[in-house]
Amino acid sequence: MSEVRVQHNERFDVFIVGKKRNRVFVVDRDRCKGCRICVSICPYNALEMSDKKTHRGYFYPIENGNCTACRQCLYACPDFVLSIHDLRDVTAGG
Amino acid sequence: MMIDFSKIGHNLEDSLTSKMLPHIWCSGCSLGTNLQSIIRGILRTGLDLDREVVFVSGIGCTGRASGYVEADGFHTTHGRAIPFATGVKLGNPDLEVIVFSGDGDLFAIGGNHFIHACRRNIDMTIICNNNSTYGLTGGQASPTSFEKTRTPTTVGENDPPFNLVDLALGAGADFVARYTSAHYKILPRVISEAIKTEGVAFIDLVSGCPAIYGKRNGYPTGEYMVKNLLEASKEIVPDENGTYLLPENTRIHFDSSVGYIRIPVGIFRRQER
Amino acid sequence: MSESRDDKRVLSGKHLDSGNVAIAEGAIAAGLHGYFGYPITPSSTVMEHIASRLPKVGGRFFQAEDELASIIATIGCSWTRKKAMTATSGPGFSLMQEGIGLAAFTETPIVLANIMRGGPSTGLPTFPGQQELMQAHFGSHGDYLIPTFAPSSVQECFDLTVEAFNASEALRTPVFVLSDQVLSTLKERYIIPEKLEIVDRAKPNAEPIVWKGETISPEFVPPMNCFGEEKKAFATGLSHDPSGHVDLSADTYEKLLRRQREKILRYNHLLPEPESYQVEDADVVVVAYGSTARSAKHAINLLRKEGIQAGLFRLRTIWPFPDEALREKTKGKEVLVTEMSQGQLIWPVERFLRREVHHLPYYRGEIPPPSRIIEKVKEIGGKGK
Ligand SMILES: Cc1ncc(C[n+]2csc(CCOP(=O)(O)OP(=O)(O)O)c2C)c(N)n1
Ligand code: SF4
Ligand code: SF4
Ligand code: SF4
Ligand SMILES: [Mg+2]
Repeated sequence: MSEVRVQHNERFDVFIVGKKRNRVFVVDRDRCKGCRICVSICPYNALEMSDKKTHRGYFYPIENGNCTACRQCLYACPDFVLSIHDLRDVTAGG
Repeated sequence: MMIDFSKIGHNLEDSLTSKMLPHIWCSGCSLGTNLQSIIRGILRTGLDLDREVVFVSGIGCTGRASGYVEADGFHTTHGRAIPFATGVKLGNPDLEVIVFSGDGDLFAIGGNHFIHACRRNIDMTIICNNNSTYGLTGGQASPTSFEKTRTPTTVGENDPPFNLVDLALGAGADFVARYTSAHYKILPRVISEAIKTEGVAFIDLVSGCPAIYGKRNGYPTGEYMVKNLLEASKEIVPDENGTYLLPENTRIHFDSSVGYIRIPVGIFRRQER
Repeated sequence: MSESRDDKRVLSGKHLDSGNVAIAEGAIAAGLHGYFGYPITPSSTVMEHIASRLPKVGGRFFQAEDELASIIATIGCSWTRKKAMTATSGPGFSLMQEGIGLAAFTETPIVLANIMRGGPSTGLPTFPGQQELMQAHFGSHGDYLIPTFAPSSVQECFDLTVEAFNASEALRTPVFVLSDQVLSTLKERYIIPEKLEIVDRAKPNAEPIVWKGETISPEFVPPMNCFGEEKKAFATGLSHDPSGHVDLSADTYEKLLRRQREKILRYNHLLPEPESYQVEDADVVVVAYGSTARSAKHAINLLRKEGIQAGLFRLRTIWPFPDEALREKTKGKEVLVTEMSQGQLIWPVERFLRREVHHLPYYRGEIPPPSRIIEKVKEIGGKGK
């Protein structure tokens, strides 16, 4: 597929994920405090920390293509940063 | 496929007071995870967060939680979340009140209210963010700080801590459970059961303050803390003769060089109907 | 009282009872739903009367574990749009101070009746005092202004309690009723009228409320959004923006404190007015409140019989202090303040008159006897005709 797998705006990073590539994994960079809990608890090693910092001065997670949308990191994140949505719910005109 | 960013937001955004986020809590603190578990627990009961739930807190880092939830709520004075909740229940018994507050708030300055709430058994859910310290004021010793830990007010010579499970059982709460902030997978189920309990339901939510108490006492980061809490937890399964309820069996063991050693977790009492 | 009479909220008609019972009946007549209290002399009989009466009219009575709990539970109940009150005396009033600040800062309508006894500390539990006038104004930390009414008869115990509920609802504020041990047990005839004006607090997106013929401005008194209603209702004891959420900025804080004071001062003229008794031609005006004013009035009647021109300025609202009326009524006259205290009422009197006045402090666990007041007026130089 020629779709762009990763899209950003000034606040969110959106990764298209899941075996069928029908989910999106969202990082709200604005809220992240760089604690790495998500990275260390992901059972699929799907997250790595950025090398750039947010405007608040924190490193933040980047999804590397392995995410299965299991949601565990969403629940563990103390800062309401991470979300999973169905792709069709968040696409333009969709 | 182009993402429409106006449709992007946190899965629980409708339940959060967005304008107050990011919250004030430190990086890696248990509080945000716990707040999310509580919101998921409330939603699981099917209650209308906006119309049917009142979220009450005291003063402390934990106290700020009520300001982040899109439920009716009140941030009371230090130690007084339980009496406030009691007043709400007498004013309108149809409202579901949830008290979420710190170990200092609920068990030092507000300790008397807790035992009387258990005695009266007015329907409310009390969740203690038990981080064994006074987080907000700089990590001083609390009634659940462990012996031989370092705080700005003790030099490794703490008085023994309360075993909150034992205390709640003794005071007569209808539902008594303990889990840790790292139990975010099962907590919503436990919390919804607590909310559905008709009398006082108490959850000792063992948590960490990685920025202050943890830094000085063996769990310096949130990342380490989450692993530590999970590894140290041991589910207690009730046996016929009730020995699992003995204080020795429900006591938390802690060592200031590595953090938690043993945390007995589980649901220790359910309302008898 | 027959059973059926007891089931009514407003027991219109003539009664013979104590000041504390009249306070309880005033509260019930005004629409009290939740009472929260902890036993303490001489306030306990307010609570005992309410415990027997309130449940019969659909309200809830609650005996708390201490005064820290009773004041906060009162606030909690009020946030469900139900009228709530507590009553206490000296030591209990001290314990409630932190909660009082919370009620003021979150603009929670509650009524607190403080039945004063002699202090400090456990002091004189069964004898009167008037030593909490300043505590009513400054007892909790921070700046706030709580309307404070002082009855001086059993009738006024009823009337001013009704007024206290109306003021608290109309202005979204805690209100104090400062009574004392003498009034608490004194039995007098009092009348509960057929018709009472009862005020209920404003709702969001509804018509502004009218109190004593005056429309209460939502700009000064924001309508209260309560629990279980359409919008999120949230409040905090931290500085907050108009939505109730934490905002510690200098501008928000200053604006909030200013509006909270102004809303009381703006409707000052609707609060119970002072009584002026024989002041027009008086050479000496006695300033007093509560049961002390009863003794002062008696003294004035006796002085008048001797041809000495004395009058009484009796405060019914203590805070905000009726400074204009006091200045007007005492212009060019000698002023004597008498109170059951080493000196509290004298502070606002001198501050607002900007001159020194005479003082008869009396702290013996009883009201100053008329003879002492007469003596003092003569000493000041109340002239005979
Ligand atoms: C009457 C009073 N005393 C002291 C304080 C200061 N104070 C604020 S929070 C706190 C302790 C908080 O500890 P805890 O309840 O465990 O909450 P945490 O910050 O750990 O979540 C104290 C002592 C206060 N606000 N009010
Ligand atoms: S857990 Fe949340 S706050 Fe922590 S690094 Fe991951 S996304 Fe950021
Ligand atoms: S959703 Fe599951 S798989 Fe995806 S990043 Fe989070 S923890 Fe890993
Ligand atoms: S001080 Fe401790 S308890 Fe408070 S937010 Fe920071 S980590 Fe959490
Ligand atoms: Mg704590």
